[in-house]
This record gives sequence, C-alpha cells and structure tokens, in this order.
Amino acid sequence: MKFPLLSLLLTLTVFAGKSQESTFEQEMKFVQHLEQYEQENDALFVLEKLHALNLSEQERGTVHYKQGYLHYRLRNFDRAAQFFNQVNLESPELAAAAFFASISHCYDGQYRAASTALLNRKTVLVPKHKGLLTFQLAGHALLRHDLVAFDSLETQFSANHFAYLEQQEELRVLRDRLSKTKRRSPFVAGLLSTAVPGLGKIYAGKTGQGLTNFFVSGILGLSAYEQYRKVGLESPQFYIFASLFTAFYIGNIYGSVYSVNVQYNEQIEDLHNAIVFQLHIPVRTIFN
Amino acid sequence: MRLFFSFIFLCAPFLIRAQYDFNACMRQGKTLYADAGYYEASVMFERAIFHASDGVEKAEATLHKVGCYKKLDRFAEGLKALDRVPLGMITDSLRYQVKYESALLAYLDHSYAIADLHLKQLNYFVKDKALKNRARFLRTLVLNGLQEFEAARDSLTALVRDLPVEPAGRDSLLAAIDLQYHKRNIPKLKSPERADLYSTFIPGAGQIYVGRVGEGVASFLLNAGSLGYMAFNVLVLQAYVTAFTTGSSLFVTFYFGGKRRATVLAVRRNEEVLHEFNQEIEALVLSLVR
Repeated sequence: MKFPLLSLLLTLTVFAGKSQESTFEQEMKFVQHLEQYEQENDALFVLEKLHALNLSEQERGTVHYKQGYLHYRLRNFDRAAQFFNQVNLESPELAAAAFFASISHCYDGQYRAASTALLNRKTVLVPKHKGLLTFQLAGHALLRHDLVAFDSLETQFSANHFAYLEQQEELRVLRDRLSKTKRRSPFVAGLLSTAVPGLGKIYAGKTGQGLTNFFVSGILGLSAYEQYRKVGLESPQFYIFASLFTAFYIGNIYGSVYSVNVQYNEQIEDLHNAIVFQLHIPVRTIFN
Repeated sequence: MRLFFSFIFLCAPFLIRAQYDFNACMRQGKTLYADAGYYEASVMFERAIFHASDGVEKAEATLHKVGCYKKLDRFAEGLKALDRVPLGMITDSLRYQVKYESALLAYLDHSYAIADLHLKQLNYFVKDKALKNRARFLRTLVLNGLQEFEAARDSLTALVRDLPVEPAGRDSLLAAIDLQYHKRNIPKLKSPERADLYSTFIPGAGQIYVGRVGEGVASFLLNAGSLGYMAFNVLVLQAYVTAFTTGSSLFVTFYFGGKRRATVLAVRRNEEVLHEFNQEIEALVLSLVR
C-alpha cells in the first residue's frame, strides 16, 4: 500500500514541478513560434510581460538576451545594446550577449561603449573567446582611428580560427586605407574655385559637381558678357545674367569649402561601415 | 487494471491542461477584443494558434486574429496569417471563411488581382453552392476594382435576381444597376501614353486631352515663349550664346517637363474617376447586403 502511494506522490510532485518550469519554457517556445513567423514586435510584447513572472536569475538573463536579439534583428541597435548589457552573469548566453552588445554599439556609432561591453565581461570571455575578443577590440581601435592601439592588438591576432581569419586580413587592409585617407584643405578648395569655378570641387573629389559648376558659371558669364557687348548697360538681360553669374560664382566657392568636409566624412563613413561589417561576420558565425 | 487507471488519472491533468490552453486563449482573446484591446487580442489568438491541436482549431483562431487585424487596418499581415491555415485539414465552411476573408483583406488592401485569385480558389476549394453564392457581393466589388465593368454588372444583376425581394423591388434594383453601369456613367479612362504622344507634337495638348485646359494653355505658352526668346536673341540681338544656351535650356525644360506632367495628370485623373465610380458601386452593393 505504502509503495504505490509513495510512487503516486512522487509522480505528482514531479508533474507539479514540471508545470511551474514549463510556464517559462512554454512562453519561450511561444516566443520562438512568433519569431519563426516574423512577428518580432509581438514576441517583444510577450517577453516584456514575462518579467512579471517569478523568474530565476538565469531565466531573466535569457529573457533579456532574447529581447536584445529581437531588437537587433529589427535594427533597433540602441535598445538591443541596452538589453544585451542587462544579461546577468548566471545566464548561459552571457558571452553571446557581450559580443552582440558590442556589435550593436558599433552600429550605433558608440565605439568606446562597444569596447566597454566586452571588457566588462572579460573574465567570462577569456580564454574560450580570447581570439575573437582581441579581434573585436582591434576593430574598435580602428573605428576610433587609434592606429597605435590597433597595431599593438594586431600582433596578438589568432592564426588559426576559421571564423575570423579572413576578417583579420580585411581589417589590416582597412587600416592601410584609413591611414591614407587625408582631409583636404578647405582654404585651398576655396582658392581654387575663386580662380576657376568648379576646380575646388574637383580638388575635393567631386568631379561631376565641379564640371557642372564650371559649365553653368561659364554659360552665365558668357551670356552676361554677350548681352553687354550687343546691347550695353541698358540691357535688362545683362543684369539678369550678371546677377545669376555672381550668385553661382559665390555659391560655388562656398560649396567647394564645405564639400571638402562632406567628401572626407563620406570616405570615413564608408570605411567605418566596412570595418563594422568585418567585425559582425564572426559574431554571427560563432553565435548563430 | 489498477495500474492502467492510475496511469490515466496521472495523465489526465496534462490532457485537460492542453485543451484548456487553447480554449482559455480563445476566451481571453474574445474578451480583449470586446474591450477594444485589438493588439493584445491578436497576440492572444496567436497563442491559441500555437496551442491548437488540429487544423480546425488553427483556422478558428486565425480567423479571430484576422478580425483584430481588420480593426487595426493591418490587412497585409492578416493575409499572411491566413496563408498559414492548412486548407486540406478543415471543413468546407471554414475553408469558405478563410478564402472569403483572404479575398476581403486583399480588396481592402487594393490588391484586386490577389483578391480575384482568392475568390477563384474559393470557387475551386469550397463545394457548397450556397456558400459560394455568398461571395458574389465581394466578387462584384473586386471585378469593379479590376475595371471589368461588364462582368461586374453581370455579377451584380445575377445577384439581385436571386435576392428574396418583391418583383417591384427587384425591378427598381435592376434599374439602379443599369443606370449605374450605363455607358455614360462608366469611367472613360485617359491613356497616359496618348497624353504623352499629344504633348510630343503640340506642347500642352496632352494636358488638354486629360481635361486640364488651363494647364495645357500655360504649357503651350511657356514652350512658345522659350522658342520666341531664342528667336529674339538670334534674329534681333544676334546673341547666339544666350539663344543656344539659356534659350534652349528653357525650351528643353518646359517641353520634357510638360510631357511628364501630361502623363502624371492622366494617371491621377484615372485614379480619381475610378475611385469615385467604385465608391458609388460599393454603396449600392452594401445597401443590397443590408
């Protein structure tokens, strides 16, 4: 009699325990279901409600990680980084959260925060992910244009990890490109455009715009001169073309001065995008 | 035997729990819907889909979810949700509802070709004739959207003939349909290609063809003015640089700009007249439904 009763009690206890555990697991399965059907916003809604449950530290970490990952998929990098950084030490997804947080910060232009997100969890990331950590920190140094720091970290690059061997080489190439990217002088650009309309823009790297400025200014100037020669100062067309020529000429000088900065910023942005892309690939490969 | 019953007793909570999950989700979803919490209700119905044990439950939950999406004007997402329903595993009446709702959502999303496709699938998948006939109202609206006015009129006429109304009432409805679809009332669409062609030979003619006489005259005068400006500089002032640079730039801008404008006006006018006509037909069809 005692034995069947004991078995019954034991079985019921197991089921009771399982049903409490399964609420969280069931919810996470439902979240996975929503993700599968590309309903990320609904999944975030469900995860937000999960915090009201009595979760263990590990479970809370999993929820934060999931929230971060969904925001990352929706390209809300600011929110993604916030949630990734909240993943606690007990969570099994801590390493993934640290690296995804740093990638999210990179996309958001917060390069120091990207390094901090990794260095704060260094004790957990090393030694298993030491190579990846060094690679990411080197990339962040490059994004901050700190070539000395990059060169120092570059010597510690791993020689045999398949996930980022190629990306390490790409980073070296990008480092060279960055060192050769120089800001041109706005004063020189303005001076060149004063002498020849459009030349300052060509110096800044905007050849098409420079040629357009040259032709438009030339046509207006020639037209004004022609009206002056044919009709003289009484011609209203002379004043119209002369005013238009003056406006274009001055505008062309201003434009050349500012286009130097615009061109430099565009080149830097392209380089930054290329660096972040190279940093992103191994993180997706390893923690997919 | 005792062991067998103990086993059933121990499994029962799990079985009851599984059934409770779907039904509980449906109940909560309906409560949220009644309280106008359409977004929360849609998530709850998705939860019901997740806990559904067969195609019928999945279809029921999806149809309720689609009701929420309609309230939120999220027609495209509703269509995506309905695509997930396994048509081969549900009853004829549910199949009708799924296909009807798909066609309706596509119509509300102005995707008339997709709506037509769903109505054709409804005809193919649903065997019950009475159910098929119920979709004729929507079919009329979709045919109108596709600008198949003859077919739309025929569909509406057939519908009215089958309505359980007095002969006098039926005759007046048929007369209203004939009036609505009379040759004079059917929108006469303007061809954007023709508007472009007219403006190629006579600047402004395309705008006049579309019905914008003032704009057409203005376009003509601007083009004539720029040509006149060129002629004046060449013949009177002998200012050839001004004529061939500024004058020709002005002419090219007005000429090609005028052609593009004529095309845009034709497209816009067609949208406006179709919209007006379809609204009248929609009002007529809805009055029949009521």
